[in-house]
Amino acid sequence: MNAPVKILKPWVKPTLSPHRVGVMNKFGAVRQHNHQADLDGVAIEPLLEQYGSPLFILSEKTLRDNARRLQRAFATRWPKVRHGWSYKTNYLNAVCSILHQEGSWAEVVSDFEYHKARALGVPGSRIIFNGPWKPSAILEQAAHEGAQIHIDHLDEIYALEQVAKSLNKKVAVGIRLNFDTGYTESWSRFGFNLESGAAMDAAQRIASSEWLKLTGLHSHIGTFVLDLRAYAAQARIMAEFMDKVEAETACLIEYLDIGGGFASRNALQGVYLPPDQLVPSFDQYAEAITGSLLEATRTRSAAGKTLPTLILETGRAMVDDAEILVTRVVGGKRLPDGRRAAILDAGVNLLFTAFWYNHQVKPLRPLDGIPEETVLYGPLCMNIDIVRNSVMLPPLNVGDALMVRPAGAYNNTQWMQFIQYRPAVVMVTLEGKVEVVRVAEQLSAINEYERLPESLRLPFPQGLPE
Amino acid sequence: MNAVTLENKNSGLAKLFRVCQLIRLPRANKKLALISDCHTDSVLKTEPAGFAQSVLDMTLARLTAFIIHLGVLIAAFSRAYASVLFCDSPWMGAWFALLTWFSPQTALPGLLGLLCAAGWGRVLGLSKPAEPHWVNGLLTGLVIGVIHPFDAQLLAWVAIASLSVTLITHWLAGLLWQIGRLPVLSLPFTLVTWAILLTQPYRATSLASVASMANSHTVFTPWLDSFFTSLGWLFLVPNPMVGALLYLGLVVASRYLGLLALTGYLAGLVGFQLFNLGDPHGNGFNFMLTAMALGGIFTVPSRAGFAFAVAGSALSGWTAVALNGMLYGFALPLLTAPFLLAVYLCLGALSARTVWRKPYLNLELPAAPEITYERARLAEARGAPADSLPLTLPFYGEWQVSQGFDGPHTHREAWRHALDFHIVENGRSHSGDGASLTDYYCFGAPVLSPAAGQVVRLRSDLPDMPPGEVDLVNNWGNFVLLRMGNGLYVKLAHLKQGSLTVNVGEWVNPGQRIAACGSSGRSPQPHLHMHVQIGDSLGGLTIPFHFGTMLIRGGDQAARNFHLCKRPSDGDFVSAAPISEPLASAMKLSAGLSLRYRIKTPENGAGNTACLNVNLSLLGQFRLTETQGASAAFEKTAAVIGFYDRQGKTALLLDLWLLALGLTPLSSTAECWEDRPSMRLLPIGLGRRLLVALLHPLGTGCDSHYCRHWDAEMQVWRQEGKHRIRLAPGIAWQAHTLAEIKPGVGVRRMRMDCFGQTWEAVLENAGWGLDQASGQ
Repeated sequence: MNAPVKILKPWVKPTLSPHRVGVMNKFGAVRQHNHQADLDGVAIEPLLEQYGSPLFILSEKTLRDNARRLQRAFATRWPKVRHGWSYKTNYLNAVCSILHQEGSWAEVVSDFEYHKARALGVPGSRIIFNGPWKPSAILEQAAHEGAQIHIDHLDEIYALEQVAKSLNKKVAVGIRLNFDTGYTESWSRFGFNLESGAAMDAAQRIASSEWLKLTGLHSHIGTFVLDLRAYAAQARIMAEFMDKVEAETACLIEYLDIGGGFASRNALQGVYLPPDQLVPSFDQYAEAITGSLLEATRTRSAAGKTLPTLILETGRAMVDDAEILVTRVVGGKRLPDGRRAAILDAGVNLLFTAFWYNHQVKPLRPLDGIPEETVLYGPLCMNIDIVRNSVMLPPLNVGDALMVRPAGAYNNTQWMQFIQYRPAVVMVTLEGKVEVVRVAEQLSAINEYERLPESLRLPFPQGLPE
Repeated sequence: MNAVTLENKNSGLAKLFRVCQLIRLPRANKKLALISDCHTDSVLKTEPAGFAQSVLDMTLARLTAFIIHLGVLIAAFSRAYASVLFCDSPWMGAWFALLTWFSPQTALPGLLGLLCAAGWGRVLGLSKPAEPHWVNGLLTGLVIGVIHPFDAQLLAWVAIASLSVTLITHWLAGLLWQIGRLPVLSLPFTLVTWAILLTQPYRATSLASVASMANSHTVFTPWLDSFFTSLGWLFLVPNPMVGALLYLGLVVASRYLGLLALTGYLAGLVGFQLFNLGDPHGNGFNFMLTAMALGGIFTVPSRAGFAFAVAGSALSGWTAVALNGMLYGFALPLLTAPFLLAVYLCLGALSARTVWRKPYLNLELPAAPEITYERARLAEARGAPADSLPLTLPFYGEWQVSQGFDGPHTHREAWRHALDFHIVENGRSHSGDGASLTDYYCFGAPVLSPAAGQVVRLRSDLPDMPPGEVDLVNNWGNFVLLRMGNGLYVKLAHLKQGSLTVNVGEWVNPGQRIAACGSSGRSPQPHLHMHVQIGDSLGGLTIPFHFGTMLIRGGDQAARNFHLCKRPSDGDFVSAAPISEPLASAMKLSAGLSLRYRIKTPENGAGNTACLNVNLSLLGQFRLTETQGASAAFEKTAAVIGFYDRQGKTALLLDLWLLALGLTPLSSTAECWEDRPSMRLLPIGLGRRLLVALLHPLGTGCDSHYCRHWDAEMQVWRQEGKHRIRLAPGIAWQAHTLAEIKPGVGVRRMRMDCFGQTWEAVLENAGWGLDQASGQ
């Protein structure tokens, strides 16, 4: 009686799609939402099966390529270049070791990071020690081991002087400067201000000390700096100060450390242009910095002085695109305002940078359906736990995996053990093998640091009521 | 002993002791040390010293000073005898002087001639020890002894002749140097002697009477007798026995000179007897001297030099025949005329060469062949060919040579001396598919000036060709042509459009950024072309060049080899050697620095101490000197410190230093390098030393391979040297050295392992003694 229904096409979850243009705009294509199933030729889905979701995946190849690209960009433009790996950006041992193998020194800002670098086998003489607070014990160790210490404030000069005296050793130091480049906000809370004369006062104070010797200048003009003119100004101002301080205190500046701040290929929230069009390449940064430096040091070699070593502390531009976060959809809902929402098993506890970046989100396999504005929520029961406030995605099913990228910078250092366990981090090696570089957290690891008083051993001393 | 001496600073003896140290006559020094020891003991017991004591002091001091002065003078006179056969040792001179007394009739006027020449030189203010007029005075005196009986007239002749010799020598020395950097040799002697003989024509025949000494009876074989007699003639003692003893002395002083003398004599004899079947009699020494001068003293010893010397000797044989005919009418003997003529002819002609080819002339700094050979060997091991122009690298970072000299593509014919560079990583010169110019790593990289010069021509408006395409009309593309101070031009081509930062007429410094690497002109992919040319026309004739202080990594290896001077070959990865300030300051050897080491030798386990001092010589040369007086010169540039010209006796500490640190790059990225230090630096015993002397009469170098790495645990650079001494094919000795260089301290420890034994020196103290070193 009833004729069998002939199914012509697979069933697709129904969507409401408003009439709007979401595919093209006058600046070109919108960001790609096509899928990506592998990283460096290694399929991601089986990794999720094996190591669980969410999962951080590092690419050794991308990291090494970035290191070489940076090295090449500057080494072909300046005679002596050194990179200091900014530990705070990502201090997973594997990441640090890869960069040390590529020739980077360690740039640390605390006793914890200093210990971490030493534990990785980095000699003290290959550590750049920055930061506004260096506890006396670690300051003593750093001075003893010949680390490159950058002094942040006057009290640190006094402290280091005492340390040097007790070690009976003349310690070579650098000072951190802050100044207005005209293109960036001046980070005046770090180091000595140049315009006010505090920097020259500090240099004079060091010159008058029999225990300290000024050999370097350091400054860091900001973070995610997109304007090349800011770097050109920084290099020029530092080189000018170098000449001035050498003339006034008879010291010899051996290096200029221009800090970090190069932007990565990530999209800042509130910035309209896509990063591919906005973010300068290493070559462009290098051209701006060395061009300005060459101009400012033109007479230096004629005066019989060597050109200073140029030190870079590039962090995020080095590692950001070398790591991804893969997460699974755990549920979906329709919000009262009509937008679609998906709940993921990774939130801002793991992706701290979601507070200021609009990360690129790609499904691992092609998803059917029409893309629709979607909110991606994390697993925390906190209102702020939003991975993406608005992203065009096809309808998502429970279990669908999404790749969030770039996720290499600051996430593995600023992540929180808050509500959730922190997941495993694996690395795809140059040979295409997968190595676990950090195992997934377990309760025992977290409880290990806790001490429960004897009186609190039993949770219900009166016994469990029926 | 030293401490005691220093305490008695005011005692005359102590003063004298210090003087002796400066003069460095070991024998006298030792005697004084004994006296001083006894004396200071007594001073210590009877302090303060009495008046009588100080008178004794003064007398002793004056007496000893006089003896020392006399000793120095005798040594200088003795050297004049040695100089006749191109030797330098005063002992050898004394031996030759002794042999002249076989014929007192000539020996005495000879000595008088020498003394008179020295006296005249002193009176006229021309005298310096070992000036050539001393030797010429000696030779003239010897001849006068033959042609004149010993009487007052002879004394007058000697006095007049030595005056003429002194004057002529000083006049000719300057003149000949200006003509062709020629040495004065014994020309004054020949001229003055001829003048004397022309004044007294009847005396000339008496020269033949000396020959009677020779032809008495056969001592060895007739031929050997003839050879030795010829040598004896040089000192006017034509006796085969004396000649043999002279030759023995020569061989002891220098085996190579001995060989040259023998070969030269044979060659000269052939040249002589081709035209004149007779015996050369008293002229045979000319052939020997010609060979010794041409092959051993005024050229760098080599096979070519040896052949040159033999040819020169043959020429002197012929010259002797020709001159004999010419002088026959004047009844004048040849004396050293054939030798002089042949040597002047050969050296004069060769010094006019414009190409650098063997045999290399050594007119500025003639020395014993062993010393010259040692210098040349080290220079060759460390340097590039002398006809190649040194430049600095025209870029920062590491680039690969994509086409070397005589390259397969375009470096042919007139443009064969050219290098092409590009950047390669992981075997590829580009990222992506290489379809776009910006994919290429080198595209847009800065290009630096490789030399100081003036921009004379340039072009910057040609477009960069897409990969795979070429502009065959404007082959060179955008280029810069610099005129260097030496009149040669250096060209950098295929530059990026509009990247030039210099203008025509502008002066540039080496290392100055002048353009960017591009792909204009005949450039299928971005690269930098560089060559040195003659003239400013586009595509002029190219000439060879090389680079100084750079690192080369072969295509398949990871270690960067340091090269002092080198022309990279096809496929080499090259980069400039960046200077490491801590390494440079650790190796800083300023004048006045004194380094005290405790030395442990296999014989002396506990060890004694020795000092290395840095001195600045009169000519502005820095020398590292060990306490006993042995020293080596060194040169320090921004990128390297190198030691050379080792002089003096065996000195364990200095030799250890030279072996372990002889050539030390100041770049911490320099991982490996090669050098050829002298084998004589090894502390080997007499037996082995004799064996080497037999196998390598001119001395030989070690094939030394150095590696350096940073020892993070000890916080030192460990510089290890492996030294191989090749004795014969398949037979070699090995030695290992180790030097530990500590930042802020210097060379903390040196060690050598050789023949199963170990020598070690540990730094005890580094201090300053500027007052002594600056030679005040």
